[in-house]
Amino acid sequence: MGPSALHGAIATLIGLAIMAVGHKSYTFNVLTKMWLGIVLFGLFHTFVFMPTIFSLLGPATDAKRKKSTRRKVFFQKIESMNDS
Amino acid sequence: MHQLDAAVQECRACKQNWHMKHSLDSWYAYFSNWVSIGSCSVVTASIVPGQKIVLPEAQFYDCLQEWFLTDFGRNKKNDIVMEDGKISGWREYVTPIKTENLYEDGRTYLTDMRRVLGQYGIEKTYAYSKDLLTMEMFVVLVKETVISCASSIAAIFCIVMLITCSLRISLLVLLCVVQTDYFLCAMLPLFDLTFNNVVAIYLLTSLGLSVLYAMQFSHKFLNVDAPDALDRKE
Repeated sequence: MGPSALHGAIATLIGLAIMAVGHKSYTFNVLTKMWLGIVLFGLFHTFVFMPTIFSLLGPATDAKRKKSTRRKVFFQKIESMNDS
Repeated sequence: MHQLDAAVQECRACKQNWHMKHSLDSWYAYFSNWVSIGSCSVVTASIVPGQKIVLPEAQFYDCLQEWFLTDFGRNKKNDIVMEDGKISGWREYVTPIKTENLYEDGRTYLTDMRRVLGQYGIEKTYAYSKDLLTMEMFVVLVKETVISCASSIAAIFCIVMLITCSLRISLLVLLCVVQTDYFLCAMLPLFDLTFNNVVAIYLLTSLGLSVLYAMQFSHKFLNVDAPDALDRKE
């Protein structure tokens, strides 16, 4: 997840750098600055903000839910074996 | 037509008179003068010198065709749109006064002009100049940007809900998307940019790109369990 997001961001920035060097018009100037902001804030959210906020407020993941279900089934099996 | 010309020239019920005196350049005024001095062969008999006359439709179009043959009429022909031998539209010019603050005065001017044209002009009469496009931007830009962003955010929420089936995740993704836009708006002065139509487009684009990052992360978060201490050791 991390490397693929980073690769995407770097590829966008490389494309942006070429445009930033080649064009001096107002529209391209705005494009370069705004996209730089978009990519950097996107990365900030992906690598810093979202992991933090999801670990604090996020719901239980599918994998976690499956794991706890498996554990419950496992303990139920052991209990039934002990009973028998 | 007389009423419209007078209303535009005087800028009736405007906050202030936005137009320079006697700056209205209307083909109809020239045409009327030409008729009133008896130059039109069709109505010469009924002319009272110095008095403006309103021609019946048939005579009007005959005189107009005759006027188009004169040098001045030929020059003004481009200001008139004819369909099936009848006038379907025309163009007039008026020079506005210079204003200090285009943002404030421009918006008032545009509103005033729209009121005048709506009240006195025929259907579909509108004012146009390059400056009016800028003023138009000042009138609608913020409102349209807010509406577009709000509808995009609503659409994002629906799609994220469909993909993740989790209200909490959808709200968190929405928070990230809104934050990205908010941060970008806050960065505008630092980027040395002003809020205009080009920036508004990129603000909308940023919604799409930021949801891409946020959605990828949240989807991964739901499907993959984070490694615990034992996994990290391995």
